[in-house]
Amino acid sequence: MTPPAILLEALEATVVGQRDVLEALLYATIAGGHVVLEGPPGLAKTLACRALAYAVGGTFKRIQFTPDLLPSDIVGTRIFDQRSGDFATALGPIFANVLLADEINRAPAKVQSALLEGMQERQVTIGPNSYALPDPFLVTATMNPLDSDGTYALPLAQMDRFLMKILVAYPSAEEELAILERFGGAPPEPVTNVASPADLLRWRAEARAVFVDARIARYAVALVHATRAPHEYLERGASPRATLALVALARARALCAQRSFVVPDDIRAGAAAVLRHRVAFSYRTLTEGVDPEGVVADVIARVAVP
Amino acid sequence: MSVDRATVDLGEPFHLRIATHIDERVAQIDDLTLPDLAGFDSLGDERRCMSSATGSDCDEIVTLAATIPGTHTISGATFDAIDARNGKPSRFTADSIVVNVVGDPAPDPNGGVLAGFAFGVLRAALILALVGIALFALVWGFALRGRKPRPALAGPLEFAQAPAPAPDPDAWLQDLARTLEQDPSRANALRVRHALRDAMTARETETFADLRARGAAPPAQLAALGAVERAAFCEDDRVADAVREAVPFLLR
Repeated sequence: MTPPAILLEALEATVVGQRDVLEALLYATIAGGHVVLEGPPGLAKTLACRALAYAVGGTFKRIQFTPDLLPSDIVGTRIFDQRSGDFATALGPIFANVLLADEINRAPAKVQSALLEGMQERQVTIGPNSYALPDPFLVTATMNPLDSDGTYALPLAQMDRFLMKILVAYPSAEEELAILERFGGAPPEPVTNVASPADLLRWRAEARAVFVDARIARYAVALVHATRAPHEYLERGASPRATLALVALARARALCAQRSFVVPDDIRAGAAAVLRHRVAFSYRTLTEGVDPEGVVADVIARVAVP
Repeated sequence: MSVDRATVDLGEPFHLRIATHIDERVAQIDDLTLPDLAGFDSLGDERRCMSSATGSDCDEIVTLAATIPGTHTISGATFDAIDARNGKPSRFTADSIVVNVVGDPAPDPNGGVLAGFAFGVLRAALILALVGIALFALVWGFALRGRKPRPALAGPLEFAQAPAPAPDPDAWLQDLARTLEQDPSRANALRVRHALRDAMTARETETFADLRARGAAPPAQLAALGAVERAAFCEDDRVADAVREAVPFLLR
């Protein structure tokens, strides 16, 4: 039986450092959720997603989101076949086990919607027919927070569909030296097929069976409710989908730690990544230059641990 | 409440013992209020709890030295707790106790200033010696145990009725281990976890990872907390096994 940790080893063989990011990717993959990675260019966001896709095996597609992208470029379209005299369906790149949506905020809302509908429903409609997406289906999206010109911010309702939002930070000096060694010459071969889509489905089933004590469940609910309490820098709190995401992520983390039950740290570890993109910050955060991450951390730090 | 000697000399250290029995197993008692000790210098105190099948017996032992001669009535200590008989918050008060202090309050005019000076020097030397012993015990405890023991400010305690055993800095951990051994339940695992977190002065918003990150306790105690936490949150049918796995961590 392949353990989930093997996926992390494969990611670490490709990406230097970024341990937190890689772990989060692994947990989200096992929890069956989609992930958005945000960070400046050149921090291996795309590389990490690609490494995950290669490691899991199955089919991998990449879409570079641009302002002129059309929904049919993602989900597919119907083409008239002159020989048969009928319409044939050409499935789009969304039909993959792992889909990398690069710079998702560079495409207009209707294109984002086409993808996000597939993420939620696990099926897309082309013409009169609906088509189920492959299982497992995992979307890893990247966003660059710096170049906001010509971007289309994803509405909260759409961001809510991502299980977690991972912030990618600059590497340390030692890590950057290691990057130079690893990528300075010929690019290393990606680690492929260390696990199969069947492994992924099995891990997901095992994660769903991980025990969550009632106190832990109440802690997850309390964390999400804390975002809805009056706060000077928060306008709107997270939805119940955040509670589900917190617990799913905690179960995945417990499974990777070879535990059959969740402890409070499993919930806490994923809280910021689950909540940061699901809350609406008040205008004061902008006018007063308050760090939104600090606001989320503050809310989390106020909730009593069971 | 009791004292090891009902009659003491002025400035002579003696021990006031406040014994509490609690039906639950607890690692320490928090809501004990000491009586007014006017007329006495407090030279230090020691708290310890022993758990058994019938609950916990906790002792607060205060080392005192009288500063005023005469007959002193020490009022009863109070303890706020839930009354097991009716489940309501109650205040329990111990009986008061009488201590006779003999000796002169000031240098005897007939004996001259020298006698008073000698008494003062003797008393200061005694206090210094006690403080020295306490500091030695503190340093010794740190060096050998890696955790802070409660300083013993006086010599071995001698009680006519119930002699207190020599203090063992790890006794409370052994008590917690016994608590779990006797009843390997989730409720006990949660109690022991609570006691360990209290000992680490954990804030209620701090997780195990937070405590580990700030080095809230020696590694052995943190490992014990981790093991107990596993017992506290695992599946119902695994609790007893997880508790048994946690016990050795408390005894390390």
